[in-house]
Amino acid sequence: MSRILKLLPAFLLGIFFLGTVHAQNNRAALIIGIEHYRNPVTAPSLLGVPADMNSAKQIAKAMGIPDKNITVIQNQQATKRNLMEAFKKVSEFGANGGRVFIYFSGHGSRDYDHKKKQCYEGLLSYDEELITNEEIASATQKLKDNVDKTIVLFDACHAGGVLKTALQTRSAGSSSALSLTPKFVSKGSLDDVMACRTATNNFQMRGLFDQATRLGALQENLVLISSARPDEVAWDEGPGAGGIATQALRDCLLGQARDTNASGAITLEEIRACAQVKMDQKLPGPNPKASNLVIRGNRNLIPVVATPTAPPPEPVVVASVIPAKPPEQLTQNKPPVELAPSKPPVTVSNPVKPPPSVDAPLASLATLRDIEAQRNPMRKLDIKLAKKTLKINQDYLDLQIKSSHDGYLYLVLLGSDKKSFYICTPIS
Amino acid sequence: MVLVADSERDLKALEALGADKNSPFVYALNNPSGRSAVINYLTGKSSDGVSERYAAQIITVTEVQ
Repeated sequence: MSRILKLLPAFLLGIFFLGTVHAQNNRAALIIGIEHYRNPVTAPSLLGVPADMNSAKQIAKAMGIPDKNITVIQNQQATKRNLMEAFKKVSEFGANGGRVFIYFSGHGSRDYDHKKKQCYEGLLSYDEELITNEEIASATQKLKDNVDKTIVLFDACHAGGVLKTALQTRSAGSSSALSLTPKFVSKGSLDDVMACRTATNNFQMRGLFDQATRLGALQENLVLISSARPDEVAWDEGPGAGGIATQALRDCLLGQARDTNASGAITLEEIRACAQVKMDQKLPGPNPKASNLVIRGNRNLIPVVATPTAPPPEPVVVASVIPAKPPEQLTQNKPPVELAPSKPPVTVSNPVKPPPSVDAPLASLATLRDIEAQRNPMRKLDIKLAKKTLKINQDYLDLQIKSSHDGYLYLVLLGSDKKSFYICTPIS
Repeated sequence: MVLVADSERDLKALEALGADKNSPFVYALNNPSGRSAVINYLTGKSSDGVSERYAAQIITVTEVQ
């Protein structure tokens, strides 16, 4: 049912609440790790996988996913049959409009179909079956209807021609030797691997992201993070460390990433940039060289949201205002005070390092764009402004808002002086 | 920006900094903490079990004398 609101002025705005309340947390995670495969000769063990799974749990918790909603599947549990069931189960997660995080650490693989002259990429299950991207996309098809945002992180690779044996190398700038294992096993022969490398269809079109969007997933609601490009190798660093990519992404997501545009939140793209630097520092090349992280979908998604912290001794940054008086007048009596730099940040997504100096108007626009980037395109707005140019002290902001769905209405106005945000909220 | 959310935002994200739940209006300074508070308030995880979907659109108006 649609609603039409007319605001004359915006201060008269009320609320309309027709939401439905469910009783359970609507965020869930599926964490898959395969350290030992059925046949260690054909699929070498990845001894860093247990560390990866711990990292994935930390990431899931930072995303606001409770322990009870985290499903862990590992080693001999991770047969193709069980994994396909797990993909379907997480896709049918009952709560409406939440988030799902899917993580995999293990071998990637490729197989070549000589009849179709088609190369298939995917994940290698414990029983050394290839789970193709097409199969994963099909099994998780219901995610697009059931949840708001889906984040998929695969620490595996599909590069052919890589050595299956562990490499011993020395990282530049480090005194410790790294034992690296590529996270790839070919399902076919060496000829098949080479056929995949020279196949006429390009790699990207066979990726999970494309398969998912082909089945109706919206790119704004889906993020696929891959630890390597199709022609690169993702590395496992061994016991206690884990995948090079997972380690870097974990550290950056949990606080080391910088809010480069000073918007006030850390997006996945900012996390990727941080993680790539860490990976390049660890494996500067030429052999081995760090892979390139790839993000497809909504790279401006904010994965970690704040948990409200204990109130500070004196409220300072945000304050209520009385609608009848303009905020500029109020500030004369009760001026908002900048937080002292030594005070702790409000959000866990804040970087450890202070944000770079950015022009405040630009940063505030980045703030609004970050909020807009988290929207769900299945929810649509039709907004009509009576006047796009307002005369000061004469015209009111007059707009009509038509929403495709019932909900709570919020208005955020960036003040003319660009010094403050003014937020109109529903009253419950 | 106009935002219509399936679920009510958690005012705790702003209460910690002094927002009053009895007032329909709050403001935040355009500084790092204020920007972060605005994002956390509007995009933060809702109460358990309710939809986090929302629509949002930025509109621009010009003020003249």
